[in-house]
Amino acid sequence: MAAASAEEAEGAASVRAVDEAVGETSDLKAIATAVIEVDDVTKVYRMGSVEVSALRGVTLSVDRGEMVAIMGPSGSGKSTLMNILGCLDRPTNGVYWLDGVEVSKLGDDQLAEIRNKKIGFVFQSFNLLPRTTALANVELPLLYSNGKDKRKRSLEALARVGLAQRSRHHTNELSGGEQQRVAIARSLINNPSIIIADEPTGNLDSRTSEEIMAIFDELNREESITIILVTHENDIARHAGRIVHLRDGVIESEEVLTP
Amino acid sequence: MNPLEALKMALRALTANKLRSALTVLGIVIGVGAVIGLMSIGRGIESAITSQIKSIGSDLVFVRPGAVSQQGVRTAQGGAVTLTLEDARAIADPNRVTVATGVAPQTNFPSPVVAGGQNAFTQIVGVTPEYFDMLSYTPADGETLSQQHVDARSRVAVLGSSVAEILFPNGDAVGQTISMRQMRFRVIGVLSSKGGGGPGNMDDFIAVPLTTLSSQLQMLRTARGEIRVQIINVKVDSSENIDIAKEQIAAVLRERHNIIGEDDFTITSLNDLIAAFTQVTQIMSIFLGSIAGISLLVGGIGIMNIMLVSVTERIREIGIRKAVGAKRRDILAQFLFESMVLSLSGGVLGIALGWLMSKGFSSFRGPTGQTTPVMITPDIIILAVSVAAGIGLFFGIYPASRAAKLDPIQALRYE
Ligand SMILES: Nc1ncnc2c1ncn2[C@@H]1O[C@H](COP(=O)(O)OP(=O)(O)OP(=O)(O)O)[C@@H](O)[C@H]1O
Ligand SMILES: [Mg+2]
Repeated sequence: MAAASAEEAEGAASVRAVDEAVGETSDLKAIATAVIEVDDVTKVYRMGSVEVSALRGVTLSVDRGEMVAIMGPSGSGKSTLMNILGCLDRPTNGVYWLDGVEVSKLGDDQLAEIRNKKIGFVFQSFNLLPRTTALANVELPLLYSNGKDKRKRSLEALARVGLAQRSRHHTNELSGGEQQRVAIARSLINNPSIIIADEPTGNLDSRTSEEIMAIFDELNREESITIILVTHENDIARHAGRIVHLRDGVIESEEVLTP
Repeated sequence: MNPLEALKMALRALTANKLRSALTVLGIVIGVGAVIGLMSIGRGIESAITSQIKSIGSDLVFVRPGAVSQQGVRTAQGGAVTLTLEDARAIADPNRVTVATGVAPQTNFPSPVVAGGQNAFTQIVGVTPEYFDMLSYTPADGETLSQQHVDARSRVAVLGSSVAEILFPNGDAVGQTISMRQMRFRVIGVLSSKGGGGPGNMDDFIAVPLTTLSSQLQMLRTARGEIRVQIINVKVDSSENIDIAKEQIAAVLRERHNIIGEDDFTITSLNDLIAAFTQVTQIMSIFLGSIAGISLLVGGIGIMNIMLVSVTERIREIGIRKAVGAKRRDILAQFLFESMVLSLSGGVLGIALGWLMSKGFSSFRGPTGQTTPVMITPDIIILAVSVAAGIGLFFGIYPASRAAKLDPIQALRYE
């Protein structure tokens, strides 16, 4: 239903790489398994008297277990969209359904709860607490959900990203790739169904980027975690099953990749 | 977020900036220390003076001529001398005033006194033998007045210790002669000192038989020749019966003086004096306390200042916490805990400082060699701690709510 209206909204302007037959079947699948559905979402930033339209009507549906890459030139609204998808921000207009809940209507505390439990966010600049151990950083979300076995779960999460032996290190003593792995461990701690990653490899060299992508691939493949990531690099985007191209705040095109 | 975690977090944040935290705490330490120190000194002085008053006897009531109306002084106390020795005898009747155990009428008359080469200006106090016992005067030398002296209107005198020192520096007062108002009196005793100097000196008087004094001075008798008295001291069997005594004495005097309206006498007890005095010392305590309170306020502003700085420095941290699910109240609690830990640790250290201050004060000796006791009572400590906690809360709430209100995206983008 949402996918159909998305097609209408985009109209002839958007170049769809998806062929009609695949579109039909994915429509049915979307009804059954779409975990994220945004419908005609806009975002307007007001800076004094100047208004900036960062998003101008984005309609997108992401299935459970999908890995989607979002690409587009700088300033096209990728981060703005990710912040909305990650429940860090609210759309100015439009509707966002997450797991059947209309989150565009929720209050700050409810959004905080969703960020804590359902979504793992990975940033380009890692956003770890400095002068704090890797372990304490990974534990941080548990502090706000009164989780049990904090230590044990955090160590497990660090082990999943291959950093168990570095748990006592302060984050500023770690390399960029290690820091990003700590951030991924932190995003995994509450077993989220979705990971939102805004240029997760933007600050890393290509070899480290591949290591990080290997972790994402494994999480997506083995645990069916839905992953949406922003990237400027085609090599990184190739890991996804679908690439969404954004330009000037609207979806310009989508391409489905066959593995 | 559970409180233990919040406390750990606050301690970690505060120890990350040890010097800054210590200086902030110092403001509260000084404030709380000043409150505790000054209040305990105030309490100490109050209790010292109260106990001195009580040492005279809290079981005494004093009847004076003249009335005080409720609107203020109507007739000055003692202005119209309307009490007589007969009134005192009536009060002494155990069937009328059942709770009285002793009655001592008294007349004061200021006069110069000469003895040998020395002279002094003092109170001549006309009394009966009961006086000494009732006001706890004991002879250091010789004896006090007897009933015979009173009945015979003997010209004998008992000297208060300070008068004795002035008139007889050699200490050989007993048996000597003193003269006042052209009358000569033989000294039969010297009283031991009650202590305390200055205007409240209770050893600066000469006691003579009431009858002797009033027979010599026309003004101390009524037109009908009755002996006037200025104070009737009444000892009551126990301090709980003070009010009963006051009523019974008033009943006797109203009947004797045929009073229908306003009384022409006033009955006071030491409790009234203590109450009046307590009021004065309480005002003093409040005054000292509010001076100390101002320094506490300054300390609180210091906390607020540091918390605002701390929030600004940690905007990115707040953004990260919010991004991983911290709610407003979590951030609020985090910063409130920090300001509370600052102010409460300041409070605890301040109690120690106040205690040291009052110890120092109490070991300081006054001009007469006496030390001033100080009292740190639990209520002062409870007050100081709750004020410190209140300050942490009050001055912490604004910075904390500023932190809590931050938008996660903007906080994350903050450099
Ligand atoms: N907080 C904000 N206030 C005002 N304008 C903003 C704000 N955030 C983003 N914008 C504007 O919205 C537009 C989209 O920004 P966004 O950060 O989403 O771009 P992006 O696609 O992520 O770019 P990049 O690839 O450089 O990260 C830009 O024009 C930007 O200037
Ligand atoms: Mg961006």
